[in-house]
Amino acid sequence: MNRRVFTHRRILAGVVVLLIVMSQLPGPVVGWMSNKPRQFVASLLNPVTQPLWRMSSSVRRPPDLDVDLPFSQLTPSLPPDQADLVRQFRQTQLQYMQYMRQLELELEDARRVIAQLSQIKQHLNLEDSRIVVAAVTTASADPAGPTLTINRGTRNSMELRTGLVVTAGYDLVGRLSNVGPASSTVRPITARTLLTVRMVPPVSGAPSRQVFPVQLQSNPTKGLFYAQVDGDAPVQSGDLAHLDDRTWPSTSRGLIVGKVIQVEPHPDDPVLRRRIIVQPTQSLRHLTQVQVLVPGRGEE
Amino acid sequence: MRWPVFGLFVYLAMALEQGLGNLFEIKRVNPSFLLIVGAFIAVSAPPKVVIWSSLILGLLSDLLHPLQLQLSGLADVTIIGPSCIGYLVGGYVAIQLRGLMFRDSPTTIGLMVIAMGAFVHLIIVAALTVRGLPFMLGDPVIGWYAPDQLLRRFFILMYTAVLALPIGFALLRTDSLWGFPSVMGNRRLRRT
Repeated sequence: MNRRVFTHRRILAGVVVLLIVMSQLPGPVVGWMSNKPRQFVASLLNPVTQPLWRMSSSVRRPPDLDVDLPFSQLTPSLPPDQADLVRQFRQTQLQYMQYMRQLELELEDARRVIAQLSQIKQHLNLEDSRIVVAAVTTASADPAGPTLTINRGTRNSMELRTGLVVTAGYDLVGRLSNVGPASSTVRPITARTLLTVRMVPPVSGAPSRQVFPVQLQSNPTKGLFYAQVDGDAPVQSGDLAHLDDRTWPSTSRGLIVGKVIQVEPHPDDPVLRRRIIVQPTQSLRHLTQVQVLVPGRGEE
Repeated sequence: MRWPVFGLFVYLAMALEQGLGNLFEIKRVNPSFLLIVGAFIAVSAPPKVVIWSSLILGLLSDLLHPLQLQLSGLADVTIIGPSCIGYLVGGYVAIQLRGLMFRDSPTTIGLMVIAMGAFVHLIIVAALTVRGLPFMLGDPVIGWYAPDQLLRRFFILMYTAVLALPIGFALLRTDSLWGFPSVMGNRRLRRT
């Protein structure tokens, strides 16, 4: 009697064993195996998901927080022309850098201010950095792996790579965590991270207060940041948190992480410590367009 | 079953799941349209077709949900396996249970979503939780906490089951497109 070697049941058993092994392999191996199929599926879905995402984000978008900045009168809508966009962004960044420098000259140690000015000067002198505008096609709500997917990749010499900073206007969105030919994935700042920021008081009507560093801990479930500060720390609701983290590229320094929405006594030590809650000024899960900062050859 | 029709409906399900996530989201809980399509196929297709279509749906579900692993640094990865096995087991369970149900009813699709989805999510949580054990080869998922995941997936399952009623009703209307074979000579009752 002829017996087939590869019966349906044996093939299925082999597939199940293979899947069990694959599900337990180390991360780099798993990523190498699944990268191509994942990017293929994403490139197939992008043309359809992008308009659907734009529609769904406009329907249920929560209101953005008001941000009081000296250059906030600049139009928040992005012009379609790339040159105008770069010019406007550079102008905004230049003004903001001037504002930060002014605050730091008044309140910080002279030696650290000079070092920061040197970095800012070097940053502003580089002309070959670019801004890539990308549309958001989808976002994941899973707290274990929050991501945004954008419709830009390595095609058309975009020079996109893992680790590049992604922004939405003046607001920091995150960093590229996976880059494919036609789409890329962004890990938002609300993923499980620690960020070092500087709390800057708002511009209008605020007495001069010290700018001081704080380490924010993100809560992916709520999309907020928490930090512990001393009871007498000069922080109030309405202050802005600007990124000042050395582990991030220099192109991201000064970008807005969020706004302080609440300052309360710390639950564990209400007398001596306070807890501040920072919320991103825009809902990162309702973005429809972002910008990827591609540094020039002289930058990291 | 006509596989091009399967491909079309799966593509639509993925597009709705990814593109309309914000519209359907309730407290960070999104429905799974792939699971609804899987339950619909499980109700009517031959067993072999159910098994292989469930595998494909599980593979696509794995590819659509990247995770952050401890050894992957900044990059996120998609792990092929947990959803594949989950959908496979769910499909097998559906095959065993479908004999007890009326196949023309949207309620059956909803109940099948619950039955399949329970196994799908339990196996996904188990597979990804096991990765975090000290003696395993795989590195743990950053931010993974099994009780939170179980709770969140319970609500995803309930939400999906509720949406399966109207979507199942619509899918049943497309029954003739799928080319499902008749079962024991009894075709579906023609709806007026």
